[in-house]
Amino acid sequence: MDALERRYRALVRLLPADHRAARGEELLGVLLDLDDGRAWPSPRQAAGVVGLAVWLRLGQGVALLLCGLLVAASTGIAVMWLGGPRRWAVGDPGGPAWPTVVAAAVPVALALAAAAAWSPGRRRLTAWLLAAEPPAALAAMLFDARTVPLVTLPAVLAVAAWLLPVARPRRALAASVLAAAALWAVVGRLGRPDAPWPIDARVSLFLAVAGAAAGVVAAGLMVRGAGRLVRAAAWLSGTLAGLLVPNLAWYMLSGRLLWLVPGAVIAAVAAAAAGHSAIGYSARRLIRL
Amino acid sequence: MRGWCIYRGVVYAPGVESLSEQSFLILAALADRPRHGYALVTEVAALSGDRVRLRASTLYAALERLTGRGLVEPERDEVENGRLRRYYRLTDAGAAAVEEESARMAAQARAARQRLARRSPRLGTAG
Repeated sequence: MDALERRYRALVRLLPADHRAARGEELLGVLLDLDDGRAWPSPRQAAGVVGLAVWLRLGQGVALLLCGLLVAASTGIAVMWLGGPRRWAVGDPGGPAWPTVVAAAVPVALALAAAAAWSPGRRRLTAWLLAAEPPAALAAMLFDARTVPLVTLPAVLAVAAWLLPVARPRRALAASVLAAAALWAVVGRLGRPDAPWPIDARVSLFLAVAGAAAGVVAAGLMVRGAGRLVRAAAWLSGTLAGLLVPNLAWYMLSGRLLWLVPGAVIAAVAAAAAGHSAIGYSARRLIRL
Repeated sequence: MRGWCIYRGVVYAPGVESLSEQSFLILAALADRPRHGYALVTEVAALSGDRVRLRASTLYAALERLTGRGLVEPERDEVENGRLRRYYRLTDAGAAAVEEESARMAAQARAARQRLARRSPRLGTAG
């Protein structure tokens, strides 16, 4: 292997693993043919490879970010319902009347159904279910203003689900939704059981854990044989994002912790994206634009 | 639902969408026989009078798109001097797309020439 080939191989490693496996040698062959006789890659060709890698990864990243956000939002909406049984106990003198419960249950059911439709790849059905959620949530707002997040997030996700479908590891997504719901409920019991949004005091902790998990995923991608570690960290990061994003969105809409929310949301969703990307990589599933 | 692949953001209908210049030249370069990547780059340069010089990455992305649209397909792989060369060939849909695009450009060129021929001499333009 001469110096030019060695240097071009290093550049081609920037491409996503699935593209590299499918067509990396083909691209390398063309690069070597075009720069035959040179010791260093020509700037034009090298810039092209870097740009291609950025484009391919950016597309995957955007699609996965939306995928992670969908999981997170659906999870949070569902757990808002599940995490406050005392509040939603019909007939309880301190609880809401049954119209409130029903009005809040409909968007939650739609959110869960959307997540369920998304996992096997039913893109259109997902979009329709999400699009139906804001009108249902608007009705719920008549009874309880805390359903505001039910309006905004699903509307955004409906557009995203329609415009950017993406292949995804289905079982990992489904597992993330269930795990996030369960973990949220557990944290709620350990924190403030009376509040439907229990982890406000633990945001920084979960951010740190999500960031660390994303870092483990990134490191694991570079290390051969780290499959189990990568999968575990990816599952954790996706799950934590499922906890953080709806909660932080709620704070944003409530006007609290505004200085923290944008970066926290980005970090949480990036963790989810990295997590699901690693699951796809380690499970040898193709993640396409 | 066939064609609404969840792996793509756009549904491709061969022959309906117009081709970019690069894509058209790549398809035209494959019209007479299958070629590998390096040969495609040199043939596209020849077809365009050295005006279009494709980068390897540009060709990579273009072939990915054209393969996804069913206009080209890989034919065979060969190893020459330790380098993998993947040969691509034009599909029937690709040949139809080239023909349709050629006819469209020829019609546009004819219309433009007719209008040029009617330009008023009062504007001081050359006849």
